[in-house]
Amino acid sequence: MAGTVIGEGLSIDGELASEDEVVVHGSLRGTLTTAGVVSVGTEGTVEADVEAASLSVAGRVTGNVNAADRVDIQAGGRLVGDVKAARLTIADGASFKGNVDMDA
Amino acid sequence: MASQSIISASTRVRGHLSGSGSLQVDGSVEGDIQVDGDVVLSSGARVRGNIRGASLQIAGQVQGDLQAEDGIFLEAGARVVGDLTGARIGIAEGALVRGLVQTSAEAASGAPRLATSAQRPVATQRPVAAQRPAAPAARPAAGRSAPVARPSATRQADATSPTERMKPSAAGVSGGAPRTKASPEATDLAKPKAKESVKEPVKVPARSKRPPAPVVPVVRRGAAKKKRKA
Repeated sequence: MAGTVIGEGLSIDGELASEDEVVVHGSLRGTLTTAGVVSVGTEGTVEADVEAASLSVAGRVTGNVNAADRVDIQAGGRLVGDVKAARLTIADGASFKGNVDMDA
Repeated sequence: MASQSIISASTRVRGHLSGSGSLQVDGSVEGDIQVDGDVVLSSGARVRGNIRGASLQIAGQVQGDLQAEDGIFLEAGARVVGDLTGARIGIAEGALVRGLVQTSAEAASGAPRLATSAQRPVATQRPVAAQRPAAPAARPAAGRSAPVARPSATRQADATSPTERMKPSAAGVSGGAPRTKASPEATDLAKPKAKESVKEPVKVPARSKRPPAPVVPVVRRGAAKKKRKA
């Protein structure tokens, strides 16, 4: 368990750097850097450049994403920004706008 | 239901955290924290910034002010450099605090802090009730003294303990133009006392012997006036 959780109703303005999982149900503005997994819940909002092992988006993400492993945009999720990741999945019903670089 | 947020041990945040719900910090935060729920800082947590919440439970390190609507509890191992304001404040043995600690009830009444501290042990539960009788009692005592002595006497009465408070007023009643030894002594001792702690009276006898009696009070009074203006 554990990892960082930004609960619903909480907003962070600034940099967040971590070594493990980050779950966003609230809002984050700034930058998000972690060696672990990032997941953005349905109510989560991220306006930040994201650097992570992988990213799963069910809420909204605005910013460039650099994932070592993969990026998954789930149904209802919304991602605006450039994605650099080895693997990218976009579920039916997800929205995405940006450049993709899967050259890894 | 209020949500729970966690800043894990390996996580470092630079910026503000604000919003609803409760927050647990195991990692480090550089910036202010403001939530309407409870804030828990575990023993490994470090925060540089002010923290506001419904209640704060601190076992980690904080450099900044703590403010809680309900209570602040510092556990053993906590290190806080900053002011504490809350309706209730608990500090466990082994916790370290550097700063002003104030329960909200006292802050609201606005009475001088040190004067009331003597009364506090009598009524720990209700500091407000203890203060109210204390303040009027102090004022008439100072008012009885001679007008010359009064400004200094009342001023110092705020800072000194109840026993010290009696000295200047007693000197004022008895002393006319030729000053008794008691009054310069009293002013001399009360001045440093205002800044320093209660240990001071030990030095008093040595100091009072030093100045030749008639000259010094004039110098002292002049200095005291200057200080007052500045």
